[in-house]
Amino acid sequence: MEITEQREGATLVLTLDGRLDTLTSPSLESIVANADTLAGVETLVLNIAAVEYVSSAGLRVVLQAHKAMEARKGVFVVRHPNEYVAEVFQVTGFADVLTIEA
Amino acid sequence: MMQPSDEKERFSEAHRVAYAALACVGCAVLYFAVLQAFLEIPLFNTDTQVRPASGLGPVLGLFFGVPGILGCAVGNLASDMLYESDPVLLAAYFAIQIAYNAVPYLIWYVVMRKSEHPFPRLDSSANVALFMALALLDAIVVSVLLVPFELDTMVAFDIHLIRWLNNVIFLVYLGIPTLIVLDRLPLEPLAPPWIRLRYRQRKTMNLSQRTTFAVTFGAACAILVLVGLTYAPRFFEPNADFAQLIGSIYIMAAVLTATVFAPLLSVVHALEKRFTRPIEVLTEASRTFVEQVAAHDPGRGSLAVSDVDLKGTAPRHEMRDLFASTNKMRADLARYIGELSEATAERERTAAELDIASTIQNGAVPHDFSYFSERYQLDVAGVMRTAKEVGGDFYDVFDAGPHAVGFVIADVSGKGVPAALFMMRALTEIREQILHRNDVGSAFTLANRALCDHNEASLFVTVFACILDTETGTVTYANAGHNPPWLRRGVRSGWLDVAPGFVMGALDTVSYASATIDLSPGDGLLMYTDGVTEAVDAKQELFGTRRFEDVLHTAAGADAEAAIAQAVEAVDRFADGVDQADDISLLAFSWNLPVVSTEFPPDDRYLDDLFAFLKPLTERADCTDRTYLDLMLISEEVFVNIAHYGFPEGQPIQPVKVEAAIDERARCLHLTISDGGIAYNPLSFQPEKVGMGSDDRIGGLGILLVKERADDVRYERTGGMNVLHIVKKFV
Repeated sequence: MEITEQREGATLVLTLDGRLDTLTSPSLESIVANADTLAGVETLVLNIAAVEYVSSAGLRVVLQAHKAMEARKGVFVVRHPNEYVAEVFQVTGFADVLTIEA
Repeated sequence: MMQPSDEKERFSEAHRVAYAALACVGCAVLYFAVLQAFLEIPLFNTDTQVRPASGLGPVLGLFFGVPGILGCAVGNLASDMLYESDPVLLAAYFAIQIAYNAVPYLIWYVVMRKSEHPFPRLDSSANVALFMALALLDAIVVSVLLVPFELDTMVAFDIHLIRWLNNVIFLVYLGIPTLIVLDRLPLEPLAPPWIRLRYRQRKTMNLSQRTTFAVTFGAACAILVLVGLTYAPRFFEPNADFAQLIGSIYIMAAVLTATVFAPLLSVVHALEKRFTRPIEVLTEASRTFVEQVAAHDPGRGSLAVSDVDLKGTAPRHEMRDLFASTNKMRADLARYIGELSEATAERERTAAELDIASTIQNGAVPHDFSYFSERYQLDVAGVMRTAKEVGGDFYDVFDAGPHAVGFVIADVSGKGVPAALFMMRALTEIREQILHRNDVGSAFTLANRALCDHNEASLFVTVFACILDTETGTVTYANAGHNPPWLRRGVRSGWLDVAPGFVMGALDTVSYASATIDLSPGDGLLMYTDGVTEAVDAKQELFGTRRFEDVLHTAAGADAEAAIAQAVEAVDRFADGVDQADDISLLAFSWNLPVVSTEFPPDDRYLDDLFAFLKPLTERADCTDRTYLDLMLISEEVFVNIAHYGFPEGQPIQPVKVEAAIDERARCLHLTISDGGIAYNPLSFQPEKVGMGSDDRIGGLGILLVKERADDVRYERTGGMNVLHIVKKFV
């Protein structure tokens, strides 16, 4: 999976391309768990338009990112989930917890 | 059947003409030779007439008929022509010879026209007597015929007497032996046209013939010897008057013949009537008795054999007793044979009926399972082998719902006709109940009550029945005292764990409960009756459960048909010719979805390979991308779970087996993931949605997804493995 970082002031946009599963989640995790990477970030945007699949491992990392931003009183937005991923968020209750923008 | 006359006509005309011609010529030559021989002897051709030829003519005529009569007359004519030239006289003598030769022939065949053997054969005293009478008559006839030709010479009366005696004596003492010899030669006598029977030469002389022959031969020899001894010395006296001597000899011979043969023939005749003929009759009757019995048609009522036909004989004393006991024996035998035939026919009828019963019973049990294999991709095979013509085992396979198949195997107590009749009842009852109740257990309960009813013979039956849901592989089963079936699932095969239950048909208060087991694609059940395990060999040893297990393990990979065949073959090899003691039945099925399988070490890094394994299974027209994504999700969660938690320190690492089978009919994929890690049922983990503030409890997320995405998921711990079975419909 490819992750593209785009920093615009206090907003960090992470664009993912590919599957977010057990094997690929660690690469996302290394970013969101890195305090340096998140330094000065008030809004974290996860662009998953190009993500066709997410498993529980991926969900955990997404939650991890959510909690990390919550801890620094920031905002975490998940953008453009496809129909499938949106369904997964729905079923697992993530849709209630996360801020998801279509 | 050809008439004898037809056969006669078939006999080539040319042959008959040739034979007649040959006989004629032969007789002529023989007659001439004998006549001339004796005429040349000076002693015999003076006033005395020692004409042995006189004895030949009539006998040759009697045997050879017209050709013989003619031939001898011609021979005589030829001889006459040497001494006489007057054609009228020659013609007259020729005519007289014809008459002389013809008289015995004509009279013999007229007298014998109704006889069974009319041909000239001196095989009884009556025949001999007839011949001798004919000789007397014939000699008188010729004497009378010659009188006009000898008036001028006025030959003395004694010359006529001598000539008459000559004819008679030579007819008897030369004629009879000649006739006997002719009869023994392979020559056929020629009979007049009113005789229709075909001549058959007797190979050996019968008793009557031998008796007659011996007696007449003995008497004739004695007479000849006596006469010879009396007169032979006189021949050598110097003044012997030959004519007178011959006359004396003739007279003595004639007197002796008359006085000896008359009583002799009477005695022989009496013997014949009382002994030899009855013996011949009895022999013939005994010979044909068996033919008569064999030809009897049992359907025409009882065999009745008549007493032996006496055929004019008059057995006396011991012969009569012999006849009586023979008749009794014939009657007894006939009756006994009749009873035997009836018993055999009865037995054949019973065997035929049992044969039909066996056919009916075999027809009640399904043999063609192509319906099930085509409809449900089920591999089914069954065999029922009764010990006798009919038996008490049965199995049954039937549709039990839109996508369910019912299997029944049962064993009625006992064997033979009673068990077979109860078997038909039980088969029908159980099938009915299973079809009408939603639960195998209650079906059993109700079937049991029905079978206890009207069961005066107190038969019972052990039953195992199950219903297979062909979409999910779930088997619902119940048992009534029957031996548990063998669960076929490769290396994890073993006896199905099932409660014994009570037999059916014994107590109407018994109730049954059903249990379930889930099959994975490729799994199956093999049901059997105890005829298999209780088969015995010559040493009275049982085949047993252990040997059966060995066979079943060996046949683990085979299809149902082959597995059953291997089991039957093993039993037959074990029994090795010993009669089958009990009915043998086997029924096996495999839930045969085509399975593809692979293995991965329990490591995250193989996740992509797992996805690659699943991808081709979903590349079909009726499967969308999201189904594939669901499958990926499910398998990832399960696999990662195993990889992370299945093999803690100390647990030997084993590969994770992934099996996938497509059920075309139900349009779904069966995924079976098995691992040899620590016993753990992932389904027991509480599925958790993520909630606010929840930290640790996110472990249930994966399980939530698995349960939510799959159409059905089941867990089983068996053979030291965790087995997770997932069903995902193609959408």
